[in-house]
Amino acid sequence: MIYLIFIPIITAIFIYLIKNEKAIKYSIIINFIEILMILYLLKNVIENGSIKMIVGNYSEIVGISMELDLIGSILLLTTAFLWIIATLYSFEKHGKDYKFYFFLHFLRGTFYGLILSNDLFNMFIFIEIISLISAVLIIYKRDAYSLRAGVYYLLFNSIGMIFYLLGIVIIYINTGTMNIEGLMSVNLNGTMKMGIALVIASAGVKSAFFPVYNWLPKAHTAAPSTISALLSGILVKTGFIILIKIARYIDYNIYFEFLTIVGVTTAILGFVFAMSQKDVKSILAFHTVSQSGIILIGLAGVKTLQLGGFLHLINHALFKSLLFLTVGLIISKYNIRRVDKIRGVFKKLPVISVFVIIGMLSITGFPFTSGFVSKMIIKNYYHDNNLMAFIMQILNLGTMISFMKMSQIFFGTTHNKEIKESFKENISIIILGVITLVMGIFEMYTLSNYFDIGVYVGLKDFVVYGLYLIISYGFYTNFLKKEAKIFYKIRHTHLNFRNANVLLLTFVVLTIIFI
Amino acid sequence: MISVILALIIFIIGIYGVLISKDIIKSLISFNIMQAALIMVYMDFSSLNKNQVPIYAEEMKKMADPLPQAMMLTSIVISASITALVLMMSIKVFHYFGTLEWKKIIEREEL
Amino acid sequence: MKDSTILKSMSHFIYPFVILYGFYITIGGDLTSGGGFQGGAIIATGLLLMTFFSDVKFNLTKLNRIEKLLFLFIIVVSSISLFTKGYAFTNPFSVNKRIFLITLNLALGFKVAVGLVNIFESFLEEGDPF
Repeated sequence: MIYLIFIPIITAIFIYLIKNEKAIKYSIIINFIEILMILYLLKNVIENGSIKMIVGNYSEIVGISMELDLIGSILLLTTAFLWIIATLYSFEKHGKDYKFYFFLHFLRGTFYGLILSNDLFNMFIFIEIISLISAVLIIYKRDAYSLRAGVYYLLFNSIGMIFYLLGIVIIYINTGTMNIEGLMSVNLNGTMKMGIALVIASAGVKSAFFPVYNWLPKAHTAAPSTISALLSGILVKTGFIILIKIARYIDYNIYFEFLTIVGVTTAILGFVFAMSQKDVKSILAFHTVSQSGIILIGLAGVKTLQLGGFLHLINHALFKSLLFLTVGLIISKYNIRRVDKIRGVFKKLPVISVFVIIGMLSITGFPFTSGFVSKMIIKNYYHDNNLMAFIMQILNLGTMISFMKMSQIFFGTTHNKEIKESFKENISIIILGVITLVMGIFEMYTLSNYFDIGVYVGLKDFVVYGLYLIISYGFYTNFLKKEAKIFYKIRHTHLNFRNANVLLLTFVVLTIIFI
Repeated sequence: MISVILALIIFIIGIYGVLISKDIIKSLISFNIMQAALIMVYMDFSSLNKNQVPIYAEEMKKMADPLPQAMMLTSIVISASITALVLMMSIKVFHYFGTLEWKKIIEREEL
Repeated sequence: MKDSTILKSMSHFIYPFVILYGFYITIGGDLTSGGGFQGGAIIATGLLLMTFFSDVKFNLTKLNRIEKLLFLFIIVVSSISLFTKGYAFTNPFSVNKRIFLITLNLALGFKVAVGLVNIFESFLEEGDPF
C-alpha cells in the first residue's frame, strides 16, 4: 500500500530525467495501473474492513501509521480518475513541456499520501508539500495576474497552517501521541477543546470557509485550465479530509450550530459574489466557495447528513472539473474571457456545449443527476425546520441565477471563422461527461440498496425545477442585464492582505470561543 | 514555564507584524518569527525537566523526548523552502508592478 | 550602496572558524546534538561569508552536478546493507558502528550546504532589479 505513494513520484523523476516527448505520453499507463491497484484495495476493504499499517515496524504510539478504509478508497479512486482526465486534456497545450508533467505527477503522489495517512503530523507535511507544488503550478504562465494570485495564495495558506501546528502541540501534550486514535479516549476539557478548535480553524483556511475564502477566486482564475480543474475539484477538499479523519473519534454534534452558521454564510456569500463577476472562470471559482459551504452544512451533523455531505464532495469534484475543462476549451478557442463578449458557442462547438449544459444541470440539481441526489439528502433532513428549508431554496435559486447569466454565451452568432472543434481535444471531456451523467442514477441505486436511504424522483421535483427556471429568468432580465450599480461595487471590492489576516484572526478567536 | 510565556509573547509579536505590514517582505519576516516562536514551544514540551540527550546509555533517568525534535527539523525545512519560493515570486512581482506594497498590487485590475 | 569596511574585514577573519565549527557539529552527530542538517546549515553560512569580501563566483552547473552526485551517494551507501543484513538503511558492518554514521552525516551535511548555496547563488544571478 505504501508503494501507491511512491509510484507517481518515481514516474515524475523519470520524466524529469528522460526528456522525451513519447515518455510523457506513455506515462499515463502508470496512472491506469494505479487505478487497478486502487480497485484491488477497494475490494479488499469491502470484504475485510479497514487496512492498517505502520511504517518501519515500530509500535503504534511513535510510528508513522497509515490506514485505508472505505471513505479513503473512494477518495483515492476519484483522485486517480480525475488525474487521468486532466492529463489527457493537457496534452494539447502543454504536450512538450516536461517540467509541467514533473510537477503534475509529483502532486498526485503526495495527495495519495495525504489520504492514506493516519497521523496528525504526517498530514501537516503532506498538506504543506501540496501547497508548495500547487503554488508553483498556479504561477506557471508567469504573467502579472498569476504572480500576484500565487503570492497571496502561498503566504495565506502558510499562515493558516501555523495555527494547525499550534493545535497539534496542545493535543500532543494531553494525549502523548500523534496518532489520531489517541483522540479516542480523552475528555474534552478546556485546553483540549482549544487544540481541536485550532485544527478546525486551519482546515477552514484550506477549504475556503466564510471569513477566509479570499485566496480562492484569485488563485483559481489565474491558473491554467487543467490546474484550475484539479484545484477546484480535489485540492480544495483537503480541509474536509482533515475534518473527516477527526470525525471518526469526535462527535460533531456539539459544534453543530457554529459549523452550520459558517456553512450557510459561506454558501450565500459565494453566489452573491458569483452573480456580479464578468470573467467566466471567476463565476465558477466563486461557485466552488458556495458549494464548499453546502458540503460543510452536510458534514456538521448526524450520520445521514454526513453521508449527504460526503456524496456532495465526490459529485462536486466530478461536475466542477467538467465545467472547468469545457470552459477552458472555449476560452482557448475564442481568446476572450468575458461573459458578455463570447457568443455563439452552440452553433460552432455543439459537442462541447452539450457537455457544458450537462455540467450546469448537475450543479443546479436537475432531477436524475448527481447534484440532485446529494442536495435532496440534505434537504430531507431539514424538512421540518422552516428556516433551513427556506435557506436551501434560496441557495438553489441563487445558483441557477448565476448559471443563467453564464448561459448567455450559447446564443447569438460570432463572426470568427476559425473556430472549429476536433475530436482529439474532446476525448477527455466526453469520458468525464458520460460518467457524470451516469453517476446520479448509479448513486440512487446504491443508496437504496445498500444504505437504506431512499431518494425518489417525483413529478413534484420537475415542477419545482421549472419554477426555479422561471423565477431566475425574471430576476436575470430585470436586474442583471441592466448592470445595476450594486453589482459593480461588489465586483470591485478587493480585500487587502492586512484585512484578510484580521479576518483570519477573528475566525480563529471565534472558533475558540464557540467550540 | 517561563520559556512558554516568552514563546507566546514572540508569537503575538509575529501576529501583530502580519496584521500591520504593508509589504510582502515584512509579512514574510513576520511569518518566520511566528514559526520560530512555535519551535520554542515544541522544544519546551520536549524537555520539561529532563535534559539528558536521548541516546541509549547505561543509566537513563531523565531522557529528553526525541519526537518533537524530529518534527521541528522537518518544519524548519518546510518554512525555509516556502521563504525561498515567496522571495522568488516577489522578485517577479516587482518586475511587473513596480512596487511591493499589498495595497497597490491587489487593487490594480486588468482583464 | 557603499561598501562596509567592518563587514569585509570581519568576514575575512572569521569564515574559517565558522566552517570548522560546522564540521564539528556534523561529525559529532551521533554523540551529541547536531547532525546532518544542522551542520550543513552552518557550513553554508561559512561558505556564503566568502562572497562578502571577494569576488568568488560559484558555478551553478557544477553545484547542481555535485548535489545530484551526493544524493546518489547517500542512496547507494544506505542500500549496501540491503545485501548484507536484509533490510535497508542500517549498518552494513557490525564491527564498528561509527564509520557508517559519520559517513552519512558528512554526506548529508555537504548536500544541505551545497543546496543552500545554490539557492543563494541563483538569487544573486538574477541581477539587481533596483
